[in-house]
Amino acid sequence: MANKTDTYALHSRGTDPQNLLEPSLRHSVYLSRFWNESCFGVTLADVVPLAARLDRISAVTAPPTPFLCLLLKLLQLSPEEPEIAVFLTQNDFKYARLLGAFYVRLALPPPRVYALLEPLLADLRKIVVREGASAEHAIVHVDELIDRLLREHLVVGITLPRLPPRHVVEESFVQLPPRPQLLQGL
Amino acid sequence: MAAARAAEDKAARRREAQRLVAHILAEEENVRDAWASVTNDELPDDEDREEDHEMEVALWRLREVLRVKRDREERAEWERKRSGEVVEPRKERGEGEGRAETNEAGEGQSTAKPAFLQKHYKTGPFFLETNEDGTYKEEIYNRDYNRGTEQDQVRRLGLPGPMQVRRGEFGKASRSKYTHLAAEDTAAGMARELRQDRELADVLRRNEHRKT
Repeated sequence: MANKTDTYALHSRGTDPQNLLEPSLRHSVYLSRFWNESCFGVTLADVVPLAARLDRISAVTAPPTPFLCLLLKLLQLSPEEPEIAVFLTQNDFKYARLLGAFYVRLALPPPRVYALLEPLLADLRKIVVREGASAEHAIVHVDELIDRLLREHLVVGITLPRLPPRHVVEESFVQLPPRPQLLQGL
Repeated sequence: MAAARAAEDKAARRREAQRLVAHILAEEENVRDAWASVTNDELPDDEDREEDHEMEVALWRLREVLRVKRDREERAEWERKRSGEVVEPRKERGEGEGRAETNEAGEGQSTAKPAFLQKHYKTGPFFLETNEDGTYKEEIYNRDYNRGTEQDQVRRLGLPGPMQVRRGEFGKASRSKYTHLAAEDTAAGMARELRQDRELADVLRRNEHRKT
């Protein structure tokens, strides 16, 4: 019951957004203590304080990290674009911002991914990232991780849906705004 | 003696049990918070300090410049490819006028126009490794087999029908009535008939014109 996806999301997307995470990740999250204790029956408003407490980007499953649990929770709740944009536009919590970025990359269509994530390339704050169970925690910057989200298909062990390159999206979707000129303001 | 040892064992077991219970209680206390159970390891320092800001901005600017450059190059490459400008230049092959040029199917083609019903050979796809100067490593492939021999110098169209066959085919008991593919091309025949019909129609029209 607690692991069911929001009914509206199921109807509007036609497919279960939780399936965007791989079954092995998903099921280890369902069994984890953090998911069952802290993520039970929460709404999007309850996710915010949890996201604010995040201290690393890691999708390790032994035990599943809060980041992974909250990402699955977001997929389960499936917030609309304006709601998730709040995660991206706020400046106080860098890990909450990246949580929103992962959700956008997983769940939204390519033109929205480019429109929402490219402004975040201006964020130069340091973050702790762990690539996988065999890797150490390392310091990278928010913009580096966002850049990887826009170009790669496997980031910190999370498989991402295929994202066409920007120039291809530009040809198919007229609504795509140009890439922000971040260097001009400096 | 034995009774004393048994009592000692019992006391030891009790101490061990108490130690275990204390350990489990301490652990439970430690992980009462679900966060603590997953986030209690040492992390590198990710604080963004004011005094590092200038350096961080400089580093970010470098990253951003490289990103923009990379994106621009990729886009240019993609556009060049799409407009079809990138045509891989055909490998320069060696000397001599009659050199066979290999096409994608690996089929050798002589530069000289073959005579009517001239015998021809296919190079095939194997042993086609080339040297740096473009010649084949397999020496025998450097010969041009698709040039006519002495017998191909004859104008076959002038010969009687039965003799209009490829080299080495004339006079064989096993000979088939088929000589070459173009002779069996019904489409070409239809085109010819159409043309003849049209010419005939023209002639008839002209004749009618003359009559009137």
